[in-house]
Amino acid sequence: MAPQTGGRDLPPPQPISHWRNLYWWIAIAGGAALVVWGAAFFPERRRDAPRAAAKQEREAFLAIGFSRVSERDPVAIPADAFRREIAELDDAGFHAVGPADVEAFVHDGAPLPARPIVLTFDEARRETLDIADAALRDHDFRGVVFVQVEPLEQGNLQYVSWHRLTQLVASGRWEVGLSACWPNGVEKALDLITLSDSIRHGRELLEERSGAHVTAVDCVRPLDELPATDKAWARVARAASFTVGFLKAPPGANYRTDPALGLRRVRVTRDWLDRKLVPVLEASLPRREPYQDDFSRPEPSPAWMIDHGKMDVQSSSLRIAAAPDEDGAMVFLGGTERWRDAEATVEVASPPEGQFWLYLRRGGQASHVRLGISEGRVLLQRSTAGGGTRQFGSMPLPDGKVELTLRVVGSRAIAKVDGRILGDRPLAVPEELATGGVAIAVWDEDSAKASARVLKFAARPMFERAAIVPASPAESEWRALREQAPELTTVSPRYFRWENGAGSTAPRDTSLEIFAHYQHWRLLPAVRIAGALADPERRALAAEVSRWAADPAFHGINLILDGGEANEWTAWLERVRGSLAQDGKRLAITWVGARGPRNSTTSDFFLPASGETGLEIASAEPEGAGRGP
Amino acid sequence: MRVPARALLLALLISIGCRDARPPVERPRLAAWVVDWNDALLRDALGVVRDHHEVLSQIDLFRFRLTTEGDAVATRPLTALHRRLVDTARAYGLSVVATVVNDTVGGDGKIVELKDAALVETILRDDTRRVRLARRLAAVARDEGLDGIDLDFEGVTGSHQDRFLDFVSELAGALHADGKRLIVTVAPPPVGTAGKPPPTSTDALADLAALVDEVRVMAYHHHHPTSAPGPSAPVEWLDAVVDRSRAAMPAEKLSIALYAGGWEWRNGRREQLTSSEAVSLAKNLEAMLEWSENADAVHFHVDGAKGGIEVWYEDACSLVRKIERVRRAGIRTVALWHLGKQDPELFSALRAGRCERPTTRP
Repeated sequence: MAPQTGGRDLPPPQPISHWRNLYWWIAIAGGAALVVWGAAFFPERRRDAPRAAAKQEREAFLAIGFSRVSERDPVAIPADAFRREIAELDDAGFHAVGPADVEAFVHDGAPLPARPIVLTFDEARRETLDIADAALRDHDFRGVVFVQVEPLEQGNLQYVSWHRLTQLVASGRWEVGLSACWPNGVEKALDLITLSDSIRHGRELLEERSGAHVTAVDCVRPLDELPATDKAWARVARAASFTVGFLKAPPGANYRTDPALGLRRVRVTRDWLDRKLVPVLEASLPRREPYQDDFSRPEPSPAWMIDHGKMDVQSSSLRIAAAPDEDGAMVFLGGTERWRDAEATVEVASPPEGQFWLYLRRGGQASHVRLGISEGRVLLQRSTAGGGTRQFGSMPLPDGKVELTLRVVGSRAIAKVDGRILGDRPLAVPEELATGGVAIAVWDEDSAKASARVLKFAARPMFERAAIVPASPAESEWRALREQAPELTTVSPRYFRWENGAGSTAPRDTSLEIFAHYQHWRLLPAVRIAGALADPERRALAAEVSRWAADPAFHGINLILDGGEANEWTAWLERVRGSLAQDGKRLAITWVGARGPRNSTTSDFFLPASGETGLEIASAEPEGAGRGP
Repeated sequence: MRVPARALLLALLISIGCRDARPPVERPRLAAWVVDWNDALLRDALGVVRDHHEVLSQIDLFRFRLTTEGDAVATRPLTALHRRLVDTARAYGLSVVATVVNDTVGGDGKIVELKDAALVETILRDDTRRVRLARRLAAVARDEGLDGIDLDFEGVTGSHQDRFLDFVSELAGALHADGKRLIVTVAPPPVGTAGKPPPTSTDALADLAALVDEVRVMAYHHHHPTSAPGPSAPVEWLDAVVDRSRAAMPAEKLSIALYAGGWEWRNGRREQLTSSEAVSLAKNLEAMLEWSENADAVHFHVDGAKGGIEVWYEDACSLVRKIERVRRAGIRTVALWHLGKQDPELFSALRAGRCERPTTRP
């Protein structure tokens, strides 16, 4: 049967255009190839979108340093391992930042992307930089190379040429810094002058040769050598126009308030890579969530960092013990170095060998609040650099395992033993113990005998809470205040009010002030500001606030402000805060209704709404604020 | 013919090479402060720069003071005369720096206090104000096209030295980033009785030298307004100041400032004099001028009530000899406080490299 063509139901036959089809197929194939290969041609563009959406970090950043990376050198970090670690850093959400970002962060408070890390490289070895550059390009990371100028000036072939360095800088992936250090035994005068001249000339030469603006200097000496030389080193580096400086240091984060010319750079060595870089770095990030550990894994969590001594997991417990020839051991909970207000609970298999201690706000050898076990008793102690160690409570050690809880919030500490409060009143914590890490330690005068087994551990950051109360509380408000007492750090009686350009004062309640003193609360009388405030009026208010705060019974003033107007107040508040600080007084701000500026967390409280009556609880944790009973 | 030509070329190259290998001979440097308190002083400075630029290397415009808020403020608005002076100095290859002194001015522009150490200490204690002032001075140097800043904060006590060093390092860093220089002018190290302002310890001199380009030690006013009459810089004292300062830092970092004028003690009052005023006074009083070998200075005394009148001053000869003395100690830079005070013959004498001893009567 012949095909039916040209019937009434069918369209007339059309000639087939084979060439046009071919063009279409070529175009489609070309487009597909562009999509597939384009990413390879333009790798830098791949990750722009997700990185732009990253969260911001305002508190801390990490810096790590690689010495040599090589395909062949047996003592260098193997190239494959390096590439793997860089990929894992990327997968873990770290964002590489450079000295310019760090400078803006440290000096001006500019935020960094989430999980910021400075990837640095010692010297400027040719092979290291070739391998590193390829890896950084693949992951849209940036690096910093700290250059020793002499080998490059001498044309040493192990190092990149100045031309190659200029190319790397021009790629936008690299920034350069100067590698320089103080010599052994530098004390004063002529050594420092020589050092100062040499680093300044080094910077000028590096800028001239590389065409880059050089602001970072790196010294391979350990951070703990710095104290003897710190001010002199920082000053000569600053005078040579360096704005950020790194020193070799054990794992830990750099916080915004750290000295900009004494930042820690954790050096990554070959043996480090066996332990995996990312978990160690993650443990160094500021810890903002509660931590719990029942030691059910065969190895200690990377969150635990050894200061000295040794630790391991045995029978679902963490055993810390002195190493041979040492008289103790100490391990830190990583990321807690700048914790301010916190609670930690530890369950210890009793009794330990020697002394056992749980530390909060540990800032150094002689700066801490600690709860521990010694010679059959549980002790609560406080130690400051100038005041020595003082004991504030003790009780017999219960039999069997014991649970110790230590809470330090604001200017007071509370200790519990198996849930029972130790002592009859909170321990006063002086301002000099404002921040510090969480640690556990053992010690015994017979070396190498000290040890303890920790069965459970929990720690959590806390937030200050202020009770805003009437100038003369009624009986019900007194009752509520007593109930809230263990949770409070500050009490703010409504003594003062600013309205129509003038201040007014309510009668004071002496019994409230005595109670606040007994509880080691800060007494920060509230100043309520009614209505809008014109500029000239602010000057008068500032003077009045200073006058009110001057009363020796007060630790400062708590200004109650509308959070919605936070930006209007910022500059004025900073001036008032600075003025009061010169007199040793504190200015706290309670933002009502909305979040205020979050760049000054130490003295800010938040209150969702204020009825200006009764007892109200304001919290430093915005979400936790609420109206009291 | 080709061989001698090559030999000649080789000889030429060797001679060029040898010449280049010699270290460059650096000229001694003489800096002078220029005060702009009135146009006459500026015009006088302009004349000195124009006529004697060969012996000068730098002028230091005494140009900035502090407000009570701790900000830097110019002594007076920049005039055409200022610009002419700066342009002339530059045309002759002189460096131009601005001095900032801790004299405080109020809101009306009038001086509230001279050498206000308390204000400086307040600024140093306040991190924000301290950093802001450092940035402001660096911006001034940048905006006015200066070669650097001369920081003359006097009277800061030892307890604030640490913060002062912080400030100096911040200012130095900001200036060095722009390729500018920082000079810090300080009181001399302790030698004999304390002068005014309080002395700078040798440790402090060393600390400063590590941060700045030049530490300028004010080697004058050993006898000062509140002391008994005497020379501003007796040579034994000057030598000791130079030696102690020199021990704290390399010679190339150190400069010595000398006073170019004189002091008159009269009836319990003390006043500064220019060298010319001292000569005129001696003429009027028909006083006999005496040359003190120990002081390398000129003086005269007229009997009268309350101790009469006594004048000590530097003339061209005394300053030429002192400058030479300082340079023999290895110090390359000498500074003069200030143009207008000096003997009119000073720069001619410096250019000639010699001076005539003064006659006993003007």
